[in-house]
Amino acid sequence: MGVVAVSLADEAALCRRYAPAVRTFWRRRLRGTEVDELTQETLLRFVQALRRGAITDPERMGGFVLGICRNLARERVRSAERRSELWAEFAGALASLADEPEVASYQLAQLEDCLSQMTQRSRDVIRHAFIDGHSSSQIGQRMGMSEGNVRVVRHRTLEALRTCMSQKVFWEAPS
Amino acid sequence: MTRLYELDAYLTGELNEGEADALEEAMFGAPDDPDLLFLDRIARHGAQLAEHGTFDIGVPRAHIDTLVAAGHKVQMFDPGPPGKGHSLILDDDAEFVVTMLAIGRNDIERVDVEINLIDYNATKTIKDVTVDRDGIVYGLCERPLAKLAFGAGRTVANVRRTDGARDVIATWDLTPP
Repeated sequence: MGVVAVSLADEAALCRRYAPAVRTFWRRRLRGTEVDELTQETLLRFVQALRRGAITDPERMGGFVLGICRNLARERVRSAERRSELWAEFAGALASLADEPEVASYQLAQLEDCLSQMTQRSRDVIRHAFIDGHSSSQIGQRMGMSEGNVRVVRHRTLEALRTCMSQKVFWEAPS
Repeated sequence: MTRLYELDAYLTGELNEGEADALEEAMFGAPDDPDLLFLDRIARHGAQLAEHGTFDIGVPRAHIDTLVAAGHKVQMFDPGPPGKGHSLILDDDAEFVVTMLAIGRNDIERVDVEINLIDYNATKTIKDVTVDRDGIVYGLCERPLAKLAFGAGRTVANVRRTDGARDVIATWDLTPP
């Protein structure tokens, strides 16, 4: 089985492709800036592995990235020195993680606009769950709701946001 | 369970370790999954909105003062008393825009703001907007949304009570300057 050869552009595209899964993996375990730090470290190691020719089967690339995540999660003892070395050597590939400014602006406006159409309770549940990282139990205690009710509100709000965000922003001219 | 609910349960710690491991395999096997990208957007952009205080569109005046004190460029738009008026020309350097709707009611904590775009024949409701103690709604939004909103032509905003009757408290009919 041969080595997977990739160009710089391919590396960038691969990092962009796996970044949401990597961020989601870390979000389950960490909060705040640590999520970004561990996402970067995961992808730096991924690029390093690509360049070393350590990935031989493109079909198993996702499993390889997941393996990096799990190894990092087990280690959790990271050397700041090693990270800075990785950064100096491979950081260029991560430039692709910055969203295209126009796309990012549009997506931000779309989420802001869709959130404004949810009730206060729905917005609060989403914020506590996915921004603050609180459990259903914690949210329920804070908002005077049962855990089950928190889940129902969360699910309904996610569905409503997904529908809203699949459409054009309200303020745009209809096509 | 749909993929969206599985990811929701994963992120909120409601899957057991075996289920979480299986979902991780699926997640990294299909990193372009639309539900994964959707939840990633909610978390990333939501964190940005929460940091700026724009997760909720209605804010107390004190929050705006805090943004200004922190060095942000905040453009204030006061269309005056209810009635006809002109909308806003967005400043080039504005990071945030605050639309002030003086409803003159400090006995109400929240209102719904129904927006009607006349040119597009479209209506939406901004729900549960905070009314500050001075009887003014301070609608705070980020520049990208403000750019779209103030470029949408004639806009009629009905401020309504949030109770069952949903009476109109005040109306602004704004045309581009």
